[in-house]
Amino acid sequence: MGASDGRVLGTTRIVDNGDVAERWNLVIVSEGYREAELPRFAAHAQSFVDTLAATPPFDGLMSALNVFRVDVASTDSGADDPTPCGGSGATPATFFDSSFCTSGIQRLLVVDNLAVFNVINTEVPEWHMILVIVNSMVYGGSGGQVAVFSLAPGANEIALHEMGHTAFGLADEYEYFAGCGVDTDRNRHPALEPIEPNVTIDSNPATIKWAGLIDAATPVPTTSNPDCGLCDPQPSPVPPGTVGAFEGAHYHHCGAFRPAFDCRMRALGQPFCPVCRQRIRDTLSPFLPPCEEPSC
Amino acid sequence: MADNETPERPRAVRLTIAYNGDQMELVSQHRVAMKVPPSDPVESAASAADIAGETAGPTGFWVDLKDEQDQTLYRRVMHDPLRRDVEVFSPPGLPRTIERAPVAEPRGVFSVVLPEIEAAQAVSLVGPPPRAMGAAELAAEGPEPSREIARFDLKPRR
Repeated sequence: MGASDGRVLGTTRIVDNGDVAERWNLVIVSEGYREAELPRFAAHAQSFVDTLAATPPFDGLMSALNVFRVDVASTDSGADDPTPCGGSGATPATFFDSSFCTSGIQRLLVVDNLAVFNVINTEVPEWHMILVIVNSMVYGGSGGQVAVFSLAPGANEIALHEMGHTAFGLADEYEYFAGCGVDTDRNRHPALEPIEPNVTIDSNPATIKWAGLIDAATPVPTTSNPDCGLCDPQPSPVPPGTVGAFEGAHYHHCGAFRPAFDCRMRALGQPFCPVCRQRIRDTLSPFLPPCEEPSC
Repeated sequence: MADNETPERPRAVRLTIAYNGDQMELVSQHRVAMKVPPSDPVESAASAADIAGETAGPTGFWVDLKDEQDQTLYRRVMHDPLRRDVEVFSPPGLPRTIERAPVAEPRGVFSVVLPEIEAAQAVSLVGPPPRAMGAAELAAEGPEPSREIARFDLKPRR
């Protein structure tokens, strides 16, 4: 199965803000849609764009973006759903060979990244980020350089979280690896500073990476985990969106800090925290048309 | 407009890199007329190491564009593109929406895009050392100090 199981029909610019060489170019690709189903893919791609355009800080940065929809038809609908993970056993013939149950994990849905690169390098060589929408109602997705998500409810949230990683170099802010109460080896973060802008081992308010975003009245650290053997169960002591230093981040219960109590890089369904929003703005601002730069 | 007044088009180089365990291979390299994200501060790694104090550091993944003297011309911090572990998402309504699971045999392909700079000589990929190992060992791994894990020349050395 693979590229012989379908064909590339063409590319449509669904958000057009001008010169492809000057804008930040997002590409949304179909997988597991038969040719007759591609109008549904167009609606699914538009749904994601609508979500993106309503998500801070993208809501104020959309003119920096072009969005392209690449219509790729597959012979069959859906994605492989292997039985060892409890799936249906379906093995549809699809262009990018998508499959659930990768590494034995049912919800881990991946595609053939090299095949995706080969198509998009031809269709939109100026791409910055690629999203693949898989025509399946089974919940699943995956991150990495090619973000993949299905049509199950909430899947747009996976795409937004993965954009945080892939396009903006943001770290995970959650304080566990396999799960709270599951990990036995994630008590304390090693004394190594993460390079990413939104996690740190530094809780000094004068030197912390996001010091400029912390209000003088906010205590730092803002929370400390009383039991490093567990995820911190205490609620936030400050209003939502407050920037501080909250202990528990980067897959460890203690010794690493995140900028806000909650953030989309910590849990799906949350807004991006102010530090992540700033990173996104810093990355996309150079792609704004000249008179829409913040200094204009 | 005369040719000498034509605005200069942004230029970039896109590299496609394959990895399998600790082996990395440059699959393709081609020029693209596109703008790239701004450089991250090239001193950021040193600053982060200072925060870490007596220990080595920092940890994470970034790509550096180097000149002949090995000076960094451009840096971009990236989420580790080597799939050593993966995020697994849960449907809405469950207490945790994201978990991670180790990958026993990391392999795959990724792309980096860098500005085309005349003085650029090589691309350096800096990150935790890649290795193939069992899932249990991977799960027990925490962050490791980053080091150069691959370097690709963009043009022949003089």
